[in-house]
Amino acid sequence: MLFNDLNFVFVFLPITLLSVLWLCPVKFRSTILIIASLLFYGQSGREHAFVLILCVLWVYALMDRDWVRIDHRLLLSLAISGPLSALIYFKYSSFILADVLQFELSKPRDGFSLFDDIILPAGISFFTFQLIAYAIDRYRGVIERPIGLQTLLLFISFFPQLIAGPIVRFKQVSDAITALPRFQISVDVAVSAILYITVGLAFKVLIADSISFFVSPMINSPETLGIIGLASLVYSYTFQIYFDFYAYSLCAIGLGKLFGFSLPDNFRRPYSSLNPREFWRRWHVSLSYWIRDYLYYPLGGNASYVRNICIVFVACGFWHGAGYSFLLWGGYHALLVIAYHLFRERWDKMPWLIQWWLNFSLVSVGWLLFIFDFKTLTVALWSIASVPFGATYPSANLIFTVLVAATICFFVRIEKIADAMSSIRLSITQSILYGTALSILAFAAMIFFNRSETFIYFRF
Amino acid sequence: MQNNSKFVLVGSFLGGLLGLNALLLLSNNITQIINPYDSSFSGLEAQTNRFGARDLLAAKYHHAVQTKKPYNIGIFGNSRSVMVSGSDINLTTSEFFNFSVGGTSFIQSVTLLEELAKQGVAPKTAIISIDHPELQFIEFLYFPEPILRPIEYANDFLTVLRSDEGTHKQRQSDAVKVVDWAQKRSWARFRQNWNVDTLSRRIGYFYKASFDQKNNDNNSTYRIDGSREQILPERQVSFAGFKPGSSAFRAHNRYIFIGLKRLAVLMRRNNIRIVVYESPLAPEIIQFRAENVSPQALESRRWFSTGCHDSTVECISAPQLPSIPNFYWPDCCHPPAKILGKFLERFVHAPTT
Repeated sequence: MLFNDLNFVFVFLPITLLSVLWLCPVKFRSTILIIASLLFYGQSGREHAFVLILCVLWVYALMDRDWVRIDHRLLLSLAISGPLSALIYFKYSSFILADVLQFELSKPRDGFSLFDDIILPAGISFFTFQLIAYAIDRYRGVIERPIGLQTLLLFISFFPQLIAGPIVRFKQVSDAITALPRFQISVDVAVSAILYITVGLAFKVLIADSISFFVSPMINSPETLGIIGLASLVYSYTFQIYFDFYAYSLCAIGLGKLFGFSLPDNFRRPYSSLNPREFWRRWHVSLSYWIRDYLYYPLGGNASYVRNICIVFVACGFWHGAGYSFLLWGGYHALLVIAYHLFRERWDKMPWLIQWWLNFSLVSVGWLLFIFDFKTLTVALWSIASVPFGATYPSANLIFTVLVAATICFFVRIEKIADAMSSIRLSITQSILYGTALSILAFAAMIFFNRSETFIYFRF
Repeated sequence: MQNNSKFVLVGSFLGGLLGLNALLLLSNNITQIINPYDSSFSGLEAQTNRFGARDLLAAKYHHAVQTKKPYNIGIFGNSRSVMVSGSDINLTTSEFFNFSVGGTSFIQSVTLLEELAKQGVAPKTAIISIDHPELQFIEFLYFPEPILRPIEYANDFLTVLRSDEGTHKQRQSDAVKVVDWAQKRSWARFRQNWNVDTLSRRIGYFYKASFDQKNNDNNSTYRIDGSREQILPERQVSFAGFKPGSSAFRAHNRYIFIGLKRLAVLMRRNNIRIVVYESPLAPEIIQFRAENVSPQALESRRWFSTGCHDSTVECISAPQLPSIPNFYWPDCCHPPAKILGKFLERFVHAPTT
């Protein structure tokens, strides 16, 4: 199920909210929320919900025990191997067999192939990483006591963050899970949640999907791009992917608030960064910090900086997708971060505007590897030589939408506005004005649902 | 005070959202307020060009209701009958109205006729086009809002369950399929209310009707009698690549049966004459199809015959239409209005059988 879907807005969310917060006895709140989350997830395929439950049971059986030595490496390896195997099978097996090992994956006529017919469970990369984090935290003693199957299942399956993050650590939500039976939604929280969800939906439907509507023809005809078409595609997609993913995170945070969960921010105005390193501290923060804590530090951290940066960024690229272009995207960012590390003094001495522009452009160019596979990227790049000025030009509507997106991206901070709205004193007139404005924004988003697309990060 | 203002904000948001959504649903009735077939809005029918099936059906329904007097002849169907105008069957606009809407199927025609009968404005003779069995176009209801018709679905369920066709188990299975399809499609139709394109079309229509009537273009493809102009080819079209497109879904065929049963009830209660004819195929392919009948078509026709059996509804199998010089079929299944009109004329003037 998607947030930008009337089934979610009109049916799933109201029923879940009513059931969890008002209708069911408080002691069953966790159970109801788990059932709702599994139903939410099961909409994309019942077998996927089964995979999720199986992975949780695996980790629970191995790491959520008092009677074994939890700090045993073998036990940890075993616990991680379960969800990791599921991730490898569902996400990477076809790529490894067909692209890397060059196996012929021809399935029998009208038959089922174990490797050809794989449908990637939405968000598997996200919940796998959460499960791994939980297992490692148990191993390290960060989570001292077993939390129980119900709590673990709720932590992993909680529907707002299940499909595209943020990648939450148990410690970040443990208090909310414990307090769930006592949770009562306050009007301040409701205001903040409404703002997050409404703005999230509007960003997704009105900005990201509008840009997508205009750039899709460009993506579908790479041979006609030329330099102008390619440049406009790069910068447009830069904002599309940001608003697409940022919107999901905003919705997730807002929905989390409705049930008493404070999910962490996933974006801290990444395109305002002045250098590649700063960008990764602001873009998909929960993934960056996960990689830092569970991969980079165990590898030795700064002790072997260049090697470890290469490893973690290639891993990060591979996490995003099973394909050479994603690996290259990871390598490209590793190169940027290492180059910045080596030439930091020179870079930092440049005027901030040049630093920002350089960084923004380098990051934007990197998205080409998200848009195209190798073959199509070659065609797109070749178009610069074959049709220098191209046959594709950005329409006035695209330019307008991108300008609006850029203005919001660089000058509006939704988190600050939400904090302000829930903490400052508002007059009655202001309240009516803001409430009405938000309702118009939500309505505008809803009537565009029929044109809306799935979130880009769902496929990761 | 602080909390009160926040309550006001939440209330304004929820109230505003509810109000806007209510307005959106109310916009479904725009053709009731400003009817394009009303003579006081001259030329407004041109604006229906951009309307979807739901709004067109609503417009035709509201027009009939507002006219108050039943038409002598009403044609029902989809794009395969919408082109027939009054002049094609030698009737004036006061006697005739074409209720057909492109993209709709038989069950929609039946429902529209029932709704008109409820208002006492069903045409005295209703001529309904049902798709040729080789080219069944199956679509669910657009109008009235299908989600608000649970009782009708229950009746359809019972109709299938109580029929004599097949084993009891088959009937059970088909009845469940019929209702399952109905409820899924109803919800899908309800969701289509939230559609920016539909809303913008309605706003454009409202603007034209209210503020910009002078600029209404009169080169409408829709006519005031509900029919739609047809563009015909200047020479013979080849049908070499014709392929049948019947639905193989048993529940869909059950809808033919259900529709015919509902029509029989309608006839009995309202004293109207109903003719159902299978839409014709182009003469160039009719021979070929007759020799190569698809299994799906056989099944569809079987349900058509079963539904017509013991019924007072006049059922006509797909006719072979004569050619008229310089009137060429644009494709396999949309006859030139002149040719179809000639065929339909016989029901207009023929006595009730």
